[in-house]
Amino acid sequence: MVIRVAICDDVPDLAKTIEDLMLDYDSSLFEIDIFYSPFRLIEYLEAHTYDLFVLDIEFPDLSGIEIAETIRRHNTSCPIIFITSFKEYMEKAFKVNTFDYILKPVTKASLYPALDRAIKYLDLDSSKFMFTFNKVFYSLSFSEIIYFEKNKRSVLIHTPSGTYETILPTKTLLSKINEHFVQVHTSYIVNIRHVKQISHNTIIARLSGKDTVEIPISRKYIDHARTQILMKLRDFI
Amino acid sequence: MMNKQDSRKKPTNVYLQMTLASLILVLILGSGTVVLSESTFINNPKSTLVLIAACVIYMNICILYFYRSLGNYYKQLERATTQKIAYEAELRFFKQLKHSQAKLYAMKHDLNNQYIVLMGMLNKGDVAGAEKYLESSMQKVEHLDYFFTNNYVLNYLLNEKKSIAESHGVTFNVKSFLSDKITLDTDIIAVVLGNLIDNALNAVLRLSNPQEKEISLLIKQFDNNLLIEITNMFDPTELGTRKNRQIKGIGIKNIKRIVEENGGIYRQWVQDRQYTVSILILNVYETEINLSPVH
Repeated sequence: MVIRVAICDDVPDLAKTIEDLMLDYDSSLFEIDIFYSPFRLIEYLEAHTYDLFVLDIEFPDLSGIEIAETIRRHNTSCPIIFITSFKEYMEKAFKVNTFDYILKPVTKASLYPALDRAIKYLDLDSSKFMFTFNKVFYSLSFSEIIYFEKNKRSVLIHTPSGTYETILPTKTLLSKINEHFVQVHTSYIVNIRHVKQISHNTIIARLSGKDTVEIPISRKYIDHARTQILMKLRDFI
Repeated sequence: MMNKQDSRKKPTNVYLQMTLASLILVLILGSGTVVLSESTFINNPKSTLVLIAACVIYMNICILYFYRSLGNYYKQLERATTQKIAYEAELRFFKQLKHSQAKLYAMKHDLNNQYIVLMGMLNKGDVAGAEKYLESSMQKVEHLDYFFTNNYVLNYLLNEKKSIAESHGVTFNVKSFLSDKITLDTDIIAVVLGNLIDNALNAVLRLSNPQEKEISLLIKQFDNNLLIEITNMFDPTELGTRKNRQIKGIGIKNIKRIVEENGGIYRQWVQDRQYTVSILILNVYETEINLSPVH
């Protein structure tokens, strides 16, 4: 899988340095486009999209934050990395959900950890969850599954677009899922990436937009679930 | 904080009250016995039993009362101790404030002198010299105060801890990306961070190899979640002293409790002699992403 990257910096040398560092990191992983003008990038975004943005925060006519605001109108989750000369960051940087903030000059030591985390966040694992129900074959990407609910013999698969059903014993289900899932209850297995909040007896997961769902968590699984959630999320915060 | 009148009852008061009450009751019972000794009432074994039972019940009531008073007393004592700790912390804060205020006055004084020097240079037309002078003093200012976050309390705390660490020859690396507008109370983060840094600093100071005297702190916010992670080298043979350290400050157990009460997850582990504490607090910031179409 290839990660489509947009680099935007009005200083060609700096943009080139970032591109070279990224190609040094893994030449086959990134497909990089460079923009010297933020307006060109904004115009291009009308019809195109990227998986990762590396933006200079200071431009003569426009701030990197404004580019990020435009990006967020189309894509709420892609990682945005800002490059800056100032240690002080603006409150606005949080409003656009900045992924990382790197001080100039950009070096391997500062860029590579951010790339490591961005790659983990983008989750390049393209394997799917496959199942059959009523003799129909289904294939869902793991990232779109919010949680599994066991209901007697059947398993309900909850996604933002709707609920699917299949018949599977819990053991088989657990062997089929990837490391982003954690069992929180005898009847519930949750996708860690969708966890919004955790309390002593419930987990609140994001469904779609501002909609959430409350999933019970049992005493037996809580400790393990908490550890898994921390260990997974710390990889890409 | 301590201006409330101390209305606590001392246990001696309880003893005094009980002794007085008992004395009065014994007197009443005694005089009653004398008065009634002539009558047949006291000679009746049943009435003696009733009297003994009444005494036992009275004693039980006294003991219950005693326990209740003692319980209240200890509760108040605990409250007073907590207040004392809070008061001491406040006092420490004001002392630090006084210290930084003094530093500020010294800086103001220095600045005045620098302006005089600059004025002199510019009067003489020595622009290059003035530029050089400005450059060097700007570098000095940069080293005086570091920027970690727009939250001035946390920024002050991190600066203080960094200067303490550096005065002990400890390298203290901080990467911080934290909003001023998170929903979590600053006091909570300050208590957690302050204690985590103190614990790490104490552990690192006991190490003999100066190259290992390094602490790395990461405070990072993304996707409405906050990650606080502190790493330092640690001598695993030191388990005994670690136990001592837990008694000091508010202790690891309390940090864990504070974190979990605020919807967070606390984990600590040792890997390759490296001690890591990782804290994840979920849903601390609500991103307002404007999803209106592009014009």
